[in-house]
Amino acid sequence: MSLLLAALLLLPAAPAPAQTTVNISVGGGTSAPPPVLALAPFAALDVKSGADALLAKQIRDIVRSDLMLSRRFNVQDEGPGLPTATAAVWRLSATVGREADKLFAQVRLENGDGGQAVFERYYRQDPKWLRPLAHRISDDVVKAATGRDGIAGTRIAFVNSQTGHKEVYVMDYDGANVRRLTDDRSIDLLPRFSPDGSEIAYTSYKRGNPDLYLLDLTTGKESTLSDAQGLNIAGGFSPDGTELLMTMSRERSPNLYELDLKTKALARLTHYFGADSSPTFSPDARQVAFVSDRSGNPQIYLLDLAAKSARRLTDLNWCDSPAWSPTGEWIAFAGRANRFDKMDIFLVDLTGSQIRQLTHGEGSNEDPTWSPDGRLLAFSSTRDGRRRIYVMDADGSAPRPVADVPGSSSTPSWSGIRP
Amino acid sequence: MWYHGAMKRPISRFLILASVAGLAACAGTKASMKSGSQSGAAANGGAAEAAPQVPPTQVTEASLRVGDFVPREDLKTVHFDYDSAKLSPETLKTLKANAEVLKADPSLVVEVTGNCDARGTVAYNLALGQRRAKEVRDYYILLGVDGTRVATISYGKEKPLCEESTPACWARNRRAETLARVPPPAAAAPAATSR
Repeated sequence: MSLLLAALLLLPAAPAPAQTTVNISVGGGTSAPPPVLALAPFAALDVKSGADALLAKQIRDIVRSDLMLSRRFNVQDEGPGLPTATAAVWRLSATVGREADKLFAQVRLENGDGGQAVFERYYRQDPKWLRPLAHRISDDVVKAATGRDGIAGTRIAFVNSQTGHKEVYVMDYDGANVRRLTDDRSIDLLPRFSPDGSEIAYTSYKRGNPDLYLLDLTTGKESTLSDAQGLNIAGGFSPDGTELLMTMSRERSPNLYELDLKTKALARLTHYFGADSSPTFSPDARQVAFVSDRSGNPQIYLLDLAAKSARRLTDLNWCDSPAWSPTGEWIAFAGRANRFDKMDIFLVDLTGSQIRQLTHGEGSNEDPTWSPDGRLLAFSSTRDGRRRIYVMDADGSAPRPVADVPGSSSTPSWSGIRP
Repeated sequence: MWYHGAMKRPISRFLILASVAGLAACAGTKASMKSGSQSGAAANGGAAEAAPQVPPTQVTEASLRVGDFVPREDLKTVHFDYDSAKLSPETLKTLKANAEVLKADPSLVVEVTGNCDARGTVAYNLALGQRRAKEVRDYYILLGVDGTRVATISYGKEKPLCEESTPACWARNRRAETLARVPPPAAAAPAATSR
């Protein structure tokens, strides 16, 4: 309830949609305010070492950012000159430094009141993996405090144009470590992360046709998934990573297909003379959300794979690029209520009766993708001029740009949580 | 798994299906339509499996992977309405003239590119661009051009001629170009493969 209230208060120009049901927390979390986590200064292992003090500060800064981005805690800093956090449910402290040629950290999570440790762990890591180490600490803290998997180790793939060509890039979920993955010097489009984050499917025109490729991020090797003349575009992977939904035209109209990644068997899912596109699996892989113009303007449809029947879900002027929430309750999409509006990000429930508008005309907002914990959405927006990648809470609050990458960035795809 | 089995077909069968002429393909598709359609489906705005209208245009396209495709002065570009792949009367006139050029030179192989304006998402515009290119190709075939000489490709909104957010620029970008193949230097030699 308070989430929604906060969302309504934060949205000045938003005309409240005429609907009655409101008290649903988007993102699968509770709607109570997050518990206070008191974050103590991280101590240097060698108190006389400036280098250790710097490492401790670097690790703490990353952990602090992760815990705040997780939206699971009300993080309150403690330390010299700062008051002790009031009503702390958790207190996190650590000791960090160099031990021989390794980076060392001792992390302790206590109950806020009694000082009883609920989690304590020692970490040893090659110093070049400082950021991954900090993210690991953050995810361990989230797990110990909430029982849920954290997303601090996840990444976002996207397309960027800074070289003059469209190439596939990847960055950490917090915008660090932006790097280019392809050097195709062509048009690369619509990257999709596999659920375990080890592969990215994407479309490239480098061989004269929009063919679909699979890039193995571990080996750097690339293979061709589909190169029938016409469109070969990745939709979503199945949650177990064995199937890939695709849009293919095969010298006819674009329709939906399902590719078995092991056997390469291809099943056609729709037979329509207009355009079906952008398929994405439900978390239980029993349904597919997709876009079709079969009723005129593009709308979101749900295809039941067992019954092989489709039903229309949305009824705005334009509804496009659906993304099914990992919790299963919501489908995020880019759409607009009126023909001359810019595109905004919306949520719709599976009955189609509840629609939430999450962005409100700040530029054109497209291509939503869920964080694997269902608490955040990444999307592209032109709100600051050129198209960039943004992340917001799943209730639409706190939108912020991720990384400052030159050129135009589009079509983000969030990885799963690495097992 | 539960949804495997009967639905799965190897890729090769699709290739064969695609290369048989109209009637056979039509029958095959209709049969699978029927098995797929459900009673509730029609009530839901067109449903998953409305029967397709299979035009007599399903002959294999020219390959996109041989040679380069470049503009020619006598092959004109046509334009489309917003979010539409319909051919206007003016467009039909232009395409008729293009078709005459194609018929006059049987060695000419062309690529029809489908392009969109910047509104709408990347994925939707790729699908829309494909429809635009296909409409143009179908019309060429209707006018008597051999379909094996015409390839289609969609660039969605990825190859804009202009980037302003103005109606004039949007209209300019909503287009289908007919580009002529320039064969690779060693034209017929098998050694000359795709780029």
